[in-house]
Amino acid sequence: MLFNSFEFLLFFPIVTLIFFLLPHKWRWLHLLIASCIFYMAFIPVYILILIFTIIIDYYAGIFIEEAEGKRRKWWLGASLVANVGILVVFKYYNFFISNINESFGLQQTTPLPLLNIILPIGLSFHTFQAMSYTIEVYRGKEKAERHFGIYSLYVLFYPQLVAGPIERPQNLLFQFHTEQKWDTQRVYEGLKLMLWGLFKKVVIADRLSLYVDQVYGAPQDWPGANIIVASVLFAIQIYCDFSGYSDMAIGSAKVMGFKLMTNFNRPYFARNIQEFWKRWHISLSTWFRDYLYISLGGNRVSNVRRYLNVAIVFLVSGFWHGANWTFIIWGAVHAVLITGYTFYKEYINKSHKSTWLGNMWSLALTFGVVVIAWVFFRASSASEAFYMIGQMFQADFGNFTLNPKADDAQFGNTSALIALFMIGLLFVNERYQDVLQTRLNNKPYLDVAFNTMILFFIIAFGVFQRVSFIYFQF
Amino acid sequence: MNTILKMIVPVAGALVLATLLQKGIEKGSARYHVHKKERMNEILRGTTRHDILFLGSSRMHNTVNPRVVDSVTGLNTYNAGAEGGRFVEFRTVLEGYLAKHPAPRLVVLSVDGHSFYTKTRMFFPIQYFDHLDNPVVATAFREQKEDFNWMYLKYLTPLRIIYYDDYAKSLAFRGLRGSNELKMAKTYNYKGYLSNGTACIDTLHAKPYKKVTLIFDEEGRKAFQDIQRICAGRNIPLRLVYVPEWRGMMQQSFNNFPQWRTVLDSLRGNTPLDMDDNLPLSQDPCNFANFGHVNDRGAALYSALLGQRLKPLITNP
Repeated sequence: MLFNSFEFLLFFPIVTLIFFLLPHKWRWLHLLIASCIFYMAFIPVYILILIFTIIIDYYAGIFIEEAEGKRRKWWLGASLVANVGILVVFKYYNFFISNINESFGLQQTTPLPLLNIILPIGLSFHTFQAMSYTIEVYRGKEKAERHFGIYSLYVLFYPQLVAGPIERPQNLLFQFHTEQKWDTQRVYEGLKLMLWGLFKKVVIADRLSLYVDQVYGAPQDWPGANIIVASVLFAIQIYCDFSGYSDMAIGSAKVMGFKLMTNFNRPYFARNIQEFWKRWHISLSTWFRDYLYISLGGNRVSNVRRYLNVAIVFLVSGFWHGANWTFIIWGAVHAVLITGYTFYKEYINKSHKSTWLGNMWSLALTFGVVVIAWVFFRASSASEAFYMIGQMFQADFGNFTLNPKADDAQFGNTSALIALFMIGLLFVNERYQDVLQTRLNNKPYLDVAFNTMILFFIIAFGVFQRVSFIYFQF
Repeated sequence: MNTILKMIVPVAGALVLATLLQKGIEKGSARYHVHKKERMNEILRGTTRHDILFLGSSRMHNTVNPRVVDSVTGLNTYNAGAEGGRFVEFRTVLEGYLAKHPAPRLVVLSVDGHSFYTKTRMFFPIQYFDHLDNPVVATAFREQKEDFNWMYLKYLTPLRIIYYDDYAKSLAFRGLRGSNELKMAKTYNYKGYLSNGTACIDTLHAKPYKKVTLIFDEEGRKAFQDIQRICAGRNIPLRLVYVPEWRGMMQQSFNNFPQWRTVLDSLRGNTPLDMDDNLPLSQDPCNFANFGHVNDRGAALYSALLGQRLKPLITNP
């Protein structure tokens, strides 16, 4: 079920209403059933995969807590193998096998068989969330959950089930045990967040996708200037798409009284790549920091090893996004950028003084390199990405026309004007978020007018085609 | 302000604004799409008896001029070609037409490479919005559950606006400013036919279309067979035609045109098919507006030829 679907428009108020009408002791069951219905709206049978990992991790958590010595490690290992194993089978098996077939020339002779399966939606998200539970129990930072239903809900909780934020047990589990009371102000704030997320998704992201998909669908047909425009628009699209989803997830949980972690913090206002990663997909980057980077030694190793660890984390992060060389290269580009920047900061420019102009330059440079890296993320193959980047550096803006190749009906001047206006609105809201929020809080009429305008824009200018969320595929 | 009120007012306010915009867009759209509106009204509400009904995509819509056919045959014909249409949409048009009109004496269905395609079941759906009360149209929309929500269309009319894309909105805006599709294209229409103007193909700069692979899915095949069944059920002879294209350029843009022909032949049975892709008029760029569509001159030439071919079928069945 998509957040931007008619089904969800019915599902959400019904589930929320029943949630508050039920006594606390039955709410977990209600949310669990609702979450199953939400997930099964995609491919029903895949719920079995989730049930399998839930059973394994639930018992692994208890056994880890009760066992001593090496046995604890074994149970943790069993849980990790089960989770990673499912990821490997469903997400990476075909990638590995097709690469083996190609590398060893088996394609023409006896190719190893590929699996004819569809990737379960949001697999990497709920697998990582489940893994964080057993790791935290192993580290003794979280007690094993004894209530099977509550643990199942921790993995299946519908707002963040398919695209995060990837929660930690210490942040979410206890909330299911606490009775959530109706709080009109909190409900209002949650709905506002959902509205803003929906605006970013259907008004900006899905509109930009009309242009981006055309250019990335046949890059050879487009001049370099258009490839640059499409790549910049893709950067905005993926931000609005993913952060829009996160806003809707956090907002819908907030309505029911649950607090999910922040996933985005105005990432394109970052002044360096390190800062970018502290602002982008925060729940994933902190997951890798807490469970991979620290496990590799964290900061308590030699400098060379530390750089290597950072590079490993970004390579794995790239691979987490998808079983394709484009994602691995995307991760590698970020690994190079972040180690390069860390080296620069630690050895070359130790006493950095910030000026307004310097900050603007840093901001533009960071955005520029992030946009170039996104080309690998979006392109259908690595060779196509390299071709597109080559074209970008030969761009001629002298005779630029927005849509020299495609059908005006798809993305013409009207779409471009609406998109520009809405991106402007997004920019103002993000740049002056704090000032705006204070003003809106102080003047309720202004707040109401703003929300009316956003809802009107969603209805009047939303793109309501069957466009899924980009991050669902991960 | 009360928090509950702060939640209700934006919803009510946005719905009022959306309703106003929706009304404006519907008005502008009706003014702009004069030809489509007239055509849909005739097909779905008209009761005139036509001797021949022409069905098909834009390749029929822009190709067969009833004025020429009528003058050659002395009959009363109507062109119900639908821009971007496929078999699925032709079926809706035919069913909708037959619901009110007396059965024609002959249906001529234009077939082309994309006819079996079903991903887009209605190319320009908003032209049907005035006819949602029509049971045939209602069924067609209800069958497209993934693309259209019947609740929005029928009962939550302010939300109908979500089905107008940016382009449709901009055209509606032009309509409100007094323009229309015929003025914009400097063209004319007659009994469903829409002239493609007089411009010729620029042979110096014309580039071949990008190659695509044609799809013949089950639903498309079924829709074609349904059309045959509907005609047979009403004792209306059906004739298929592949209208002219410039020097086979459309066919060359398909990776699997021979396969398309095999599929069509296997499904059509005894239904006659006129492949008019190799007529002498197909060699002259001045008969064509683009590779797949004749211009006004080409339409006149082809309509005369088709009229002469069809006349004996009606007068001496």
